[in-house]
Amino acid sequence: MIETKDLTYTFPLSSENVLSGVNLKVEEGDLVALMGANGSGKTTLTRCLNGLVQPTGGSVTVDGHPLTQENIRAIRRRVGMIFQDPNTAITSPTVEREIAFGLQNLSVPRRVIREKTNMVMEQFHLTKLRHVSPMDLSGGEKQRLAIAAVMVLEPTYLILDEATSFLPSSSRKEVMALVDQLRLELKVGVLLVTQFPEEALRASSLLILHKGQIVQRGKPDEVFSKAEALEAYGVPVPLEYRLGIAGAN
Amino acid sequence: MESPFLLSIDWESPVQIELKNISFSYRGKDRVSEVFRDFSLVFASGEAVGIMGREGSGKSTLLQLLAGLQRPQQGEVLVAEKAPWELDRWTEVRKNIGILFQFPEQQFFQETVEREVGFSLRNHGVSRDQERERCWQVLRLLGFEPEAIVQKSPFTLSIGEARKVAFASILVMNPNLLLLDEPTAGLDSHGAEAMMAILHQLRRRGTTIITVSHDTNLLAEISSRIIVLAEGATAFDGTANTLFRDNNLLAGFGYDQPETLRCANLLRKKGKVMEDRLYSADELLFLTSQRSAGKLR
Ligand SMILES: Nc1ncnc2c1ncn2[C@@H]1O[C@H](COP(=O)(O)OP(=O)(O)OP(=O)(O)O)[C@@H](O)[C@H]1O
Ligand SMILES: Nc1ncnc2c1ncn2[C@@H]1O[C@H](COP(=O)(O)OP(=O)(O)OP(=O)(O)O)[C@@H](O)[C@H]1O
Ligand SMILES: [Mg+2]
Ligand SMILES: [Mg+2]
Repeated sequence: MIETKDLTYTFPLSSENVLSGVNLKVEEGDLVALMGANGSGKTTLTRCLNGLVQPTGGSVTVDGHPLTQENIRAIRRRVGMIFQDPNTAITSPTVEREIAFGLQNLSVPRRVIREKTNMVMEQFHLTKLRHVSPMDLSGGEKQRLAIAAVMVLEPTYLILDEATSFLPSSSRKEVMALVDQLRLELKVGVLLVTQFPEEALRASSLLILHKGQIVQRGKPDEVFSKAEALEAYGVPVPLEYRLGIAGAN
Repeated sequence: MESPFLLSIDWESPVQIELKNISFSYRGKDRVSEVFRDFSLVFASGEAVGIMGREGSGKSTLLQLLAGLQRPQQGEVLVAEKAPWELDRWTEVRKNIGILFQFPEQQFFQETVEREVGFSLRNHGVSRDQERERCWQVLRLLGFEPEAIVQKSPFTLSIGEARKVAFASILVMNPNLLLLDEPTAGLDSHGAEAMMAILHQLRRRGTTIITVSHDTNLLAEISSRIIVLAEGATAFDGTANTLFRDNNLLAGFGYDQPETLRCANLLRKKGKVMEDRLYSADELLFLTSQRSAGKLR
């Protein structure tokens, strides 16, 4: 389980808390969705969960281990993070090598690397682009690559920070289906940051972040039923809930 | 919203845009990747066009060709009867053509948000006071509290904030051609609504707006014409009304039915009297509020 207790963060030279008193749990096999306005602190929160940002207060633990200097590397292996900007993750000269890179770091045997890389390239429709430089991909292609390169590692937890914002709806559904597969088959725990309410509807719980604080949490159906409150926070709500006709089929 | 556009920078003549039989490939050291072959398209002045299509179908490339940031190997691109790359980039282009990139945070280069947003105005000799006034005004339009953000470094902005600031830096110049690459991607509901309201207003003023987006709600609201690109060709060219109401056609291009249609169908199933057309979310919300107030059935 990834767990935060009273997590607080303040940027250096700033007086305002970007995060204050955040309590969050992501268990294995779970899908937790996180929504909130631009600048509400979603990305900063995800960065705290794999040690890219040092909380100024409270704690983060992964399977009971605190994020300390000694175990940060082990924790980053367990927590796969897909960044909001797919450009930041690019390190390799070709799509294929980008996907294989993480597996090589884990000293996976060559044959297995080849098998897994090929499979993931198929799943994410990247096979035709395997020899292309990741920098030359289109925006949506970069996002598919960024997701593929983390999912291939089969981490224990997966954090997706608006990883599908440039994908058309059919591709977003495909990605969600692949995430579900990891979750159901390998019990991967998923934290999904999104502005797409239909993605949040699939979660077991939905958290709403507002100015660094969790202001709503519960089953997505319950949370979206408070459509007016959510709209005040800048959170997009499925139109069915805004019209009061959700569940009518 | 009353017209907030204080500064009236001259309106040039209307911009008709033409791509005439263009071919374009990206050429690397050991790879050529063809995006368009013998591709033609005309946009009328004042037209609001939505561009859709799967990942890699050439949407961003099309915008770059129109802005003169890429040149076709064959054929012609004409913006107001001139090739866009003949315009001097930092003066003419910045003044007339506003382009919002898919990754706008990569374009920032000033030390504060205010200097970033006001950059083009300063370049055109606008006074310091006017610059400030105009920047604040546009930032407010986009839902910012200017006093809280103008002194921040643009590099510390969140991604959604960055997209809005980049859009502000274009809006200040009052361009007569807007090229927008996924303007609502990652925006919260307030940001998306503000963006939509601004584009509506610009459209009424006759600005030519070409918007690349997967956001069917946005495109239904702001475009009179939708073009779907597939493999470097036009796979659809028609109205939002035609495309969005045709489930099979949409699905073939990789898109779900817009939520307004889904909800209109739900209402119909519940016995509400609905016309056979594309409703906006606001219209549906208005209709249901009228009905619950007992004014309509
Ligand atoms: N700099 C580049 N060098 C080589 N190939 C490129 C480059 N930029 C884009 N391409 C390729 O050209 C094609 C069109 O890319 P473009 O960015 O126009 O697509 P797009 O429709 O905007 O896609 P998306 O919706 O994913 O952003 C893609 O196959 C892409 O891989
Ligand atoms: N280095 C920094 N110094 C000061 N403020 C910062 C810094 N980095 C980020 N911020 C601010 O912290 C706030 C939270 O940013 P964060 O990226 O976590 O937001 P977010 O919820 O992910 O937003 P978005 O939906 O736009 O991605 C933003 O207002 C941002 O401007
Ligand atoms: Mg973010
Ligand atoms: Mg693109």
